[in-house]
Amino acid sequence: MTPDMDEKNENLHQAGREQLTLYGISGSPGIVVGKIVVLSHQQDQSACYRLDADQVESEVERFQAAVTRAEGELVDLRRRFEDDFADTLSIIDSHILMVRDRMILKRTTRLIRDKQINAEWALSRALGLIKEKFERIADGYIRDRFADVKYVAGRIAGQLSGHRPESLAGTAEEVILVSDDFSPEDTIRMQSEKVLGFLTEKGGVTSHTAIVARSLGVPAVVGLEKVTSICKTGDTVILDGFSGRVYLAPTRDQQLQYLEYDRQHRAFSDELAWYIHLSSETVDGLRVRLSANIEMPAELQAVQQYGAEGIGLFRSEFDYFHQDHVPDEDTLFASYRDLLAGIAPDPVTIRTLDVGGDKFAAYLQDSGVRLDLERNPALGLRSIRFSLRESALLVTQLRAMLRASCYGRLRILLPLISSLSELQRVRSILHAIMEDLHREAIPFNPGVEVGIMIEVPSAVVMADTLAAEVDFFSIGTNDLIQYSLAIDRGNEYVAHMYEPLHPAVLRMISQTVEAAHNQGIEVSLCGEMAGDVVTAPVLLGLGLDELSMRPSAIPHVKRLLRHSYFRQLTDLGEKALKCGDGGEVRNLLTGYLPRYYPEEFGNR
Amino acid sequence: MKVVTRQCRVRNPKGIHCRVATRLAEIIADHEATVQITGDDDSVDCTSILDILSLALIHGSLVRFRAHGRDADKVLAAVEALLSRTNDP
Repeated sequence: MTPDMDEKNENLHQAGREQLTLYGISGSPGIVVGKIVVLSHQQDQSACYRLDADQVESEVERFQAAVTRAEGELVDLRRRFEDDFADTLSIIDSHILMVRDRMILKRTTRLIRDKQINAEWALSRALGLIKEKFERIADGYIRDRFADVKYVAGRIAGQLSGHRPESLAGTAEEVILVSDDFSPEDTIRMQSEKVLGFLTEKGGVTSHTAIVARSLGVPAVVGLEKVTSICKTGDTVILDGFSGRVYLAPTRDQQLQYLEYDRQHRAFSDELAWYIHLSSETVDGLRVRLSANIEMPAELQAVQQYGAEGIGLFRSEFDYFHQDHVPDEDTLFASYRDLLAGIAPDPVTIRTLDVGGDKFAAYLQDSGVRLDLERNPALGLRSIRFSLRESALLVTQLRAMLRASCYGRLRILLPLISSLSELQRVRSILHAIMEDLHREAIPFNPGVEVGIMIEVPSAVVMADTLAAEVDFFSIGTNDLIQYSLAIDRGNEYVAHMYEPLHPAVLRMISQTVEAAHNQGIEVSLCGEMAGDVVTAPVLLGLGLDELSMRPSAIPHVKRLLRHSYFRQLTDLGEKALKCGDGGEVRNLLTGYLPRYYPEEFGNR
Repeated sequence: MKVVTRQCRVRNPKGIHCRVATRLAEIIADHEATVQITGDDDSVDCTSILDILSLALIHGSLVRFRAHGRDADKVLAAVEALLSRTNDP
């Protein structure tokens, strides 16, 4: 990542500094403009001198006192931040242990005594010996821990010379700090000082600086090669923590432009953050559940962060494909149990395997299926059809789900159901598994909710019949659009005809909702349409009970919902159903959206 | 005094790095026992985390422990549990 000239800019020598754009890695989001202070981790410049024999013991005492103070400082720091920053604390813990480690303590003391040299000198020699030892380590990760040892020794040296090396005392204005790297202690302590942002040469997204900067909410760009030599204290920079770019010596216009970007980002995310803890309902009290689509349990944090009310779609494929063998029941059980327990009491909707059989080529070797011969895979052996053919896979997955059903609210979702008989087959398999579990005295919830995806036109037409047999519907618009409009979205010649707002699609959604509500069951919708603020109002107007989307879209849709009236949404839905084609629906929305949501759509 | 030995493999993908070494030293400090740890050829006692780190015990390394003291059994059980974890303590 070498610095590049920003060629677009004509004013190259403003304020006597060359304009440069430096490309690094985004460590923590946010944009700031400010002056920088370059902190060079100072070399050990302290004097080295020999001692008289009678000075030795007092020198040892001086050293030990410095160690005690350095330790005390670390312990204090740890106490101040006990409640936050779990990641940081464990790093501080190892630093606390190191400061009293005999490789530093005993060796330095011995060097002072044996060689009759001053403490600073002895400490730096002890550090040199440790360095030699670490340099012989082949493993890069462990070898790099020498940086921590050096940092700890630096703190002791700082105490010996009586000053805090990284203190910013004296800076009156808020500054952007530039360094080779920051220790977590540096980063945390700077919270109380005036720091706008961080720039470092070292590090990636998971570096100490990045982790701590994110938890402090301070923008940071890391991995900027040579930044400490390119930038000088007093230079003005724009730090863009979103893109990982740093603009050195920006023009006045650039600064104003980026400050405006920052203001927009903040205004938007502050306002959206406000919605995360509010209930998802219209002004007049109609509640709609906004839930999350996820693929991995690791996404749970995002689910909670964005205020999702449960998981509307857990795509269960990840467990099958992140390793080279098919997972066993216990692995799946553990995965589902953690998910359910993590979200309880909100529901978790787990969809059974929804893939083409081609993904299971190895598994299918002996089953006589030749998937490479499928001429039309979208209409072929996939999803529930595949699961029913390879029923051992399905049984394992359903058993794992049932066993997990005691740990929260589970909803089992069956994809690509196109006829009642498929549903009945799965039902009878479920029934048999329940009897087995009962016999084996393994606990499960016998009343677990079972639902189907409505994504094949035949299921829409038969929705009234199907609704009598299940506990909920989930409309999968991505496939429903492809099957009802006969459009392969991946085909460049027809992709432009893929129209989510086609009245045919909207009418199918509406029929499904009506059939479900007549039977008293809920309908969710989990395609991309659910998380799109343009299409979401229409969907809400069609009477869906739940929209499930990627977690980060939830605050946007919730804001929309909370600015709506039930009557106004149903009006929109009714009008959209009467439109002749997708273009007409879009025209309707062009009139509607800016009128009701001027903040989002007013400028379009 | 009771002497107990045990050997196990390092399961943490990053090897025995700071966090693991710190926890190891803490476990030993919490028990009444002294523990020697032996990597490929070096042997150190577990009170120095820098000594432990410098053994460079990477993922898959075979490690031998030798403990003596009242809690020798208990401490090695805890140590073995720590080393067989695949995530950070």
